Amino acid sequence: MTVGTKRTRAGNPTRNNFWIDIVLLITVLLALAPNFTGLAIHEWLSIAFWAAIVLHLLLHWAWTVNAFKRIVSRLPWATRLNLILNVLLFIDMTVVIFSGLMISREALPLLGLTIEGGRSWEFLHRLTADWSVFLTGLHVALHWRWIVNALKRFVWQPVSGLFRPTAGAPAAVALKSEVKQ
Amino acid sequence: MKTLVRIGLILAASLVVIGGAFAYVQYGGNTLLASGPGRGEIFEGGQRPERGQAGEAFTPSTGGAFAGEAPPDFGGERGARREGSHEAGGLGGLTEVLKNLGVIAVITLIVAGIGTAWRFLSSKLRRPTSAVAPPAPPAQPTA
Repeated sequence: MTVGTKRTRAGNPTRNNFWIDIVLLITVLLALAPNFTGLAIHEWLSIAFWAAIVLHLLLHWAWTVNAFKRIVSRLPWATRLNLILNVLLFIDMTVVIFSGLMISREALPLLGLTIEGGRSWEFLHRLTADWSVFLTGLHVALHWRWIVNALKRFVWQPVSGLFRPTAGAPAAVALKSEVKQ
Repeated sequence: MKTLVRIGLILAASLVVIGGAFAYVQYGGNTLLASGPGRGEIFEGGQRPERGQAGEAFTPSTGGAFAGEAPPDFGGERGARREGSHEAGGLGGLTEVLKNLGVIAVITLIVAGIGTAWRFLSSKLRRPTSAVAPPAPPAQPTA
């Protein structure tokens, strides 16, 4: 009963996770292309992306804590690999965003902050940005089956349902007219 | 409250990572940057020969008059950003998005392919053992 109430209030958690993850993927693709977005959007989007990472981690908190608790004991190799990859991705994303702040030319100066980052930070930013594409690819790949299932459930089925004539519709209309009479 | 504690933990983990990045840049970053062939490594004795040293005629540039025409954007407003440049962005940068998407797609294809092959092979290997029927239980005498 309580679970049912919670579910109704928060919506379907899997659906929420799916749409947040889609937004995260689009954001990371845009943030990794400053030649497309321009430097200002690139910097602000990356800062917003960090907040989205925190949200993503909060939504998957239970899994993360359980995986960390069980890493010393028996853990399936796929879960272990997933955890290691997620830790690497977190480190990489944190470094790429922070090194980006250290060489910021738009976002921080607008806030009245000027940091002379230097070439080392720029080098680190480029290196970790390249790695983030690779690690994001692996992250998506390891969750591919979940993504495909969620796509079917939350995108394909509702869209195909729009074009499918419902069998119960004429009967429902007839029932409604009978009630009116 | 619980959420705030969790956010605090995430921030703490981020600070540890940032500390590591600072340490890397302070102590390791510069050595990595200078590790390629360059200063003093590709020239004998670490001395870069200057033009004219080996007896060749050397006339320093006088910064001769520029006879050509200035590029179209040259006389523009100071600080103006060209469309498609790193700072202004533009549709030309869409290739960057597509390239990254392509890399992610290729990695996904490879990993998903390996996963599918692994599942197929493991199911093939498991099938003969499961196909063996368990021994039939002894018949119970009916009353």
